[in-house]
Amino acid sequence: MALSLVSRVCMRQILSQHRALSMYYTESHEWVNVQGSLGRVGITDHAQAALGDVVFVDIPEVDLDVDVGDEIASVESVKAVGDVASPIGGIVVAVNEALSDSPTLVNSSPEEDAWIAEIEISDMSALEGLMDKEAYDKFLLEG
Amino acid sequence: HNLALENWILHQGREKKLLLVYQNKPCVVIGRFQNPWREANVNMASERGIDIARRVSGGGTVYHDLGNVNFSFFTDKPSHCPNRNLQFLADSLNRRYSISHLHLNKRHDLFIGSSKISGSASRIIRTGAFHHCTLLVNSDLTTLRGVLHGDSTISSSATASLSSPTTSLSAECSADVTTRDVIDHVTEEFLGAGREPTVGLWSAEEEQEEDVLIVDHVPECVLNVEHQTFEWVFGKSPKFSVVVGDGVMVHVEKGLVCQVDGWDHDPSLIGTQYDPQRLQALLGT
Repeated sequence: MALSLVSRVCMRQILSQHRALSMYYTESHEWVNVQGSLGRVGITDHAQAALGDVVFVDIPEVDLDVDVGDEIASVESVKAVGDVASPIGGIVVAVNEALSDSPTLVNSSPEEDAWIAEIEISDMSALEGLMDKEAYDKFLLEG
Repeated sequence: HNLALENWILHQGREKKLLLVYQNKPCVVIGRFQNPWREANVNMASERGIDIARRVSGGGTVYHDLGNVNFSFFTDKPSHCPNRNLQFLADSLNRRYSISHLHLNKRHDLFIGSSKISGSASRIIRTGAFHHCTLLVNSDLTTLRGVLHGDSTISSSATASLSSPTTSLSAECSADVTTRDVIDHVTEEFLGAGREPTVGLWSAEEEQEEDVLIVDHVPECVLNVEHQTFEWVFGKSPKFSVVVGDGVMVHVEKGLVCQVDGWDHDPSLIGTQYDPQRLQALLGT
């Protein structure tokens, strides 16, 4: 049975709000999207704008054991090589191979398609130290 | 070793600005995610005793010799500004040598006319940043052009260098330009009147307050042994493929041969370090 257009729009809004609720941010401009015990990690739109055109992403290997704050990836842009620190601790269970062929995904879709790694979170309390979207947006405004 | 010192200083989390000045005996320095075989003539480098090093900053491949001077500007993260550093360097050189047509471009290069005399790269971490650049004062440009010529048939996602015609200060200036003179002048302008740069021994234990350090010695404890290995210099190349002989394609990951197509090869070849000359010899080409 086909859903009406209105219902579909509502579903999409509910889903994106659900996603938004599970998004957390760090002061060093990384994000983690938590679904159950898995966290997908990437860098924010603010970070990619500051970096400029991305030319290479050095993604981690699956099974890597990371602690909160460990370097999980490096990103080279036309301006510099910078680090991505993991907001959470755990084991890397998946990596985004698309970034090897298309590093510019970081610029075009930093908070969705350019996720870097998926981590099986070892300690959910790490999320308590992170900001939600509202807090992060406020943090950006305060410069 | 100077690159190890740079990396070490970066991780000290200094707040005060520092200008580090150093020179290297002949070496090829590739960017963090580059492929040395694609960027340089590895064979020629080996034959001439020219080391190959991989730095932690990005950008393209450069050639250092004692006619080249390296400037490394360390700041905290918010103060990191390559444009400002390069403008300072360009103005300083102009004041001393009155060079016409000396200009910066958007890629943080310094050009005299249409020939490059300086390339830049940067590294930013949570606690600080550095921007470093070369300056061709009176380098051996013939060797430079010869050794910065790699295997362009290599297929890889590694970052590629943007090739430019090069020149040096001494080639473009009527004045007698020496690296000593350039270092003295630039560091004097950086520090301002009445202050002297520190030359020589960098003590790892002392809190360094000085704003300019001219390196002539790098202590043992700062050296990064890991960065001297095949695994770092060659192994950190992103995976790549290259045609070696007639229809023979070699796939390399972490600097090691992982697959060979189009040749009934000895299985022991897999896992060996990629060495194009040896492969060609084995193929009989």
